[in-house]
Amino acid sequence: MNLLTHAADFLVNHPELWLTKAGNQVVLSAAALGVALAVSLPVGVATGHLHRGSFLAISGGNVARALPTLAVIAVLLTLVGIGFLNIMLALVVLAIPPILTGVETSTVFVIATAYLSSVAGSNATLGAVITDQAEFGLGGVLGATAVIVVIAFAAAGLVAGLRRLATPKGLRIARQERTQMVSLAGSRTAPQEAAPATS
Amino acid sequence: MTALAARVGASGAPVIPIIHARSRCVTNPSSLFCPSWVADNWTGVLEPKLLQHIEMTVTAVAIGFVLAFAAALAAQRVSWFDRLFTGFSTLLYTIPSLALFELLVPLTGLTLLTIEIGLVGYTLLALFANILAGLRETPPEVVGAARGMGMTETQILLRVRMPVAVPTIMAGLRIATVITISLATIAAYITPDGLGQPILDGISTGFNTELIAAGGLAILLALFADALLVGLQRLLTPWRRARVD
Amino acid sequence: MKPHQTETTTRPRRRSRSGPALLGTLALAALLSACGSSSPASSPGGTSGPSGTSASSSSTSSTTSSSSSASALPGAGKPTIVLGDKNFEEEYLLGYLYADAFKAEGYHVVLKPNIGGSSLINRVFQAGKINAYPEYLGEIAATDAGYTKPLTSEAQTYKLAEAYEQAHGATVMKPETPFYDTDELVVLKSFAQAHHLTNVGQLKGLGPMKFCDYPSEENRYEGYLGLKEAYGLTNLQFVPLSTGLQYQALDRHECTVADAFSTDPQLLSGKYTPLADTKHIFGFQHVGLVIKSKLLGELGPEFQTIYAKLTDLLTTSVMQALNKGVVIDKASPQTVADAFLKANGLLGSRS
Repeated sequence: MNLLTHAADFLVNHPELWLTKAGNQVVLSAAALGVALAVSLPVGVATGHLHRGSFLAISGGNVARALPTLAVIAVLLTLVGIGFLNIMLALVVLAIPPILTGVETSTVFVIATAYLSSVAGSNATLGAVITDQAEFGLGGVLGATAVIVVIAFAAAGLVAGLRRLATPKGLRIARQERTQMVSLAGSRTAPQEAAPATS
Repeated sequence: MTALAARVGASGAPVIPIIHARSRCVTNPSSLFCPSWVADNWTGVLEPKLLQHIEMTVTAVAIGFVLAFAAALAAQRVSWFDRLFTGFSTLLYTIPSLALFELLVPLTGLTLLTIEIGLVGYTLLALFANILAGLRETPPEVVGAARGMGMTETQILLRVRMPVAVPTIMAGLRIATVITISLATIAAYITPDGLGQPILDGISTGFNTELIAAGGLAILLALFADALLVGLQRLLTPWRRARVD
Repeated sequence: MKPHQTETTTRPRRRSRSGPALLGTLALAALLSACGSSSPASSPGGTSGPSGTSASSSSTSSTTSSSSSASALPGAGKPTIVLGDKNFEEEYLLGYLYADAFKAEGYHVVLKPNIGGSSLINRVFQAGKINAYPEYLGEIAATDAGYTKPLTSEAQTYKLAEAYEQAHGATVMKPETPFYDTDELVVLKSFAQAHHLTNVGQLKGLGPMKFCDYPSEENRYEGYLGLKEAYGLTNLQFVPLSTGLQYQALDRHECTVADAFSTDPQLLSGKYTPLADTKHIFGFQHVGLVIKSKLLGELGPEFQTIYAKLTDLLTTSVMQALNKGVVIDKASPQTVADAFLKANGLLGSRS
């Protein structure tokens, strides 16, 4: 209970702080997702069009997720230094793989991981509150986490909405329930994966 | 010995011995990767960490699978439970991993339990969504026919719904497994277990070989686990393969 | 300012990788039972130190076999020392240094390596599962005794630590180590030479510069806050960075000043210049052996002599070199510790 009160106190007393940092987190995440989309869409279109290589693209992409973001940040330090570019590129590495299975998954992952900017030279995101308990305590950690969760939900909803708009109406009705159910988990692998097996 | 001791006693200055590195390339910080270090430290460092990593992953995915399966069965009977559990597991999924671990530490300490709770939480969404979608793939009229043949609900689940659901469930299992292998590397912030530990060590000492070896092992493990699950799926669904052949 | 409360779990600190003061009772119970068992291999996380566990079991057995021939040594017939150490490389080293030096004088020592962080090992010590362990004095004052104000001197730190241990039937042996393991500001040697820098205060007139440190240090007195409040270093711009990356960041001029640990082996390279903390915001973290008072009495005056002889040798450059052996060269902590003891004539007839 005490912890919840502290979290609420943090959110009530420092709105300008967490709003700014949340805004930065959104900008950072959007930039990473944009680059990731630009890189992976051609790959997705190619594999979808050619009906081959999709297993490789999905598996390879999925497996690259096992690369710890912290290690990517360390490697990028020697290439591009620290700061916005470092964490942005690290998030791109994180975002590309799940994009092949579902943009919502990528969105959620990237937003939830963008806090790591705080160990890559930029305290602009909510990671500043999460990694520094000295100033706002565990309540701050919880409050900042709540903000991230809300952003992630909103962004995933937005992406799902955009995709529904882009889907033809007939297909939309047939897929509606299914898509809502499984899209976040990226389980569109199921139908995609079935393609090479049946062709 | 006495001569040495006397020398120390006289000058008071400590003698610093030369400590030989286990591998020659270890002492050269600019070397990117030295296979000899990996060979020398396989049984001492890498193998135990790899086994711990596998143990953490298997435990989390197994517990997550049981929980998600039970929740999916419940969601089939009670319609509102679907939305409730999807919301709950999506919520867990969006919490930054380090924040989740930090919030758990005051409750469960710097222990493997903390790690497992976190990891299980992250598997739930992929597993639950896919298990439920898989179970729902069987058309209602087929279920009705099975009921008409006198099958019990358990029989319908095991003999009708499950075989149809296997590909979708396996897809969820693959995602959950790979996610867990990745997130388990962050566990090293809490306990010195798993491949995350040599990765952190490699980062903090600027020793690239250790970083690359441990990070590479995590990726190889994910590849291997993914391939294993694909193989398992083929074994479980022989009719799909037969259709292709 | 409240180090025992604000210690975050996220920074891999070598000195005090400890969680919040309140650890789960479940974890503690499991740990206590593990320590009570006779096999050193069952100590929790025993696999984390490079071959620490296997080395400890072999050393234990070697003493048992050699103790009969060493009856003339001062340790013969004295009670068993059950020595614990904490969960990072420097502590593994201290564990083997003291254990093997005492064994060489005939004392019977059982080493329990890798027990946990500051508050955990203190509770294991209170519970009597170990009866001695090397500890950083500032950690005793802040984490165990709960002293929350900035520490002002080495003597005051010792006094606080000793008062706490005395109240719990124990004592902190004198002398403490010459080395201390605290946070320390470092700059590139070339930068230090260009501006004739030797201490932290001299950074003040040098204009805006980037300061790399772990994010949790931004609002701690033992960090960025103290640098501003005690030194008036408002020209430092805080750049949050993962621990371990700061040396590379200095090399690449991504930051001008970085926070490090005073016994980091990277400092041996000669590329970096540590700046003296004249206002002591980073506290006092010399090491002393915490031991049950009753046991210390029973061990006799020779024990104090051998303790002092070894402790006086443990300077900062010694600890940097020994840490390098374990952390960078990847030798086992016991190999490194024994090599040092042998080179300094403290391994007795066993060497």
